[in-house]
Amino acid sequence: MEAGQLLSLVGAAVTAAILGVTIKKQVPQIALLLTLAAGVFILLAVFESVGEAVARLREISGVTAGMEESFAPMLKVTGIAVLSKLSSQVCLDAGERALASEVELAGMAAALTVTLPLAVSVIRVAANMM
Amino acid sequence: MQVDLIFKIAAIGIVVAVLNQLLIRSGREDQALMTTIAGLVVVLMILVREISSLFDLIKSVFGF
Repeated sequence: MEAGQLLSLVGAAVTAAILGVTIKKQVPQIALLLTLAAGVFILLAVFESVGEAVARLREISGVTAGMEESFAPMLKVTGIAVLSKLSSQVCLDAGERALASEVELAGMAAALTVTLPLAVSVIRVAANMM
Repeated sequence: MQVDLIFKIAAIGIVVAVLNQLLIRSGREDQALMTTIAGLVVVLMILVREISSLFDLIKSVFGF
């Protein structure tokens, strides 16, 4: 990510925060949506640059044989973590702590589902060695 | 997504806040609520497209 792009993201975040505080007392709903919009804007820019780095990492991992299937769950868990963190923080901003923790729980369940085959194969390899 | 989207949403928020205050002060609280909901719907329509493109990007980057 270039410095100019980072500057625009910083400016957007600060502006959204200030404007959000301004309208929070009258219309807290739209203030929350403003926070969400700024978050979506920043994350879109971040993932576009992260995506190039990840694609390059994927090429490297494809070279080393057998690493692809252990590399993919790691990446998926990162994506799951980002998504669940974003939505739980938005719920916390709205004051919904129960919703936030339930979303985090759903993220944990999804991460478990994704990494389960990997854990099973590790246990199998360990069992074969014994 | 461009930066001016954030400013658009903030402008809608400010307009709705001002209208809200006006309507509440003149005693029409139900119309104030309807104004708020209308503003909410407009902002949501703008945002849903961006949120869906964010999810598509996450899917493609992280390999879902």
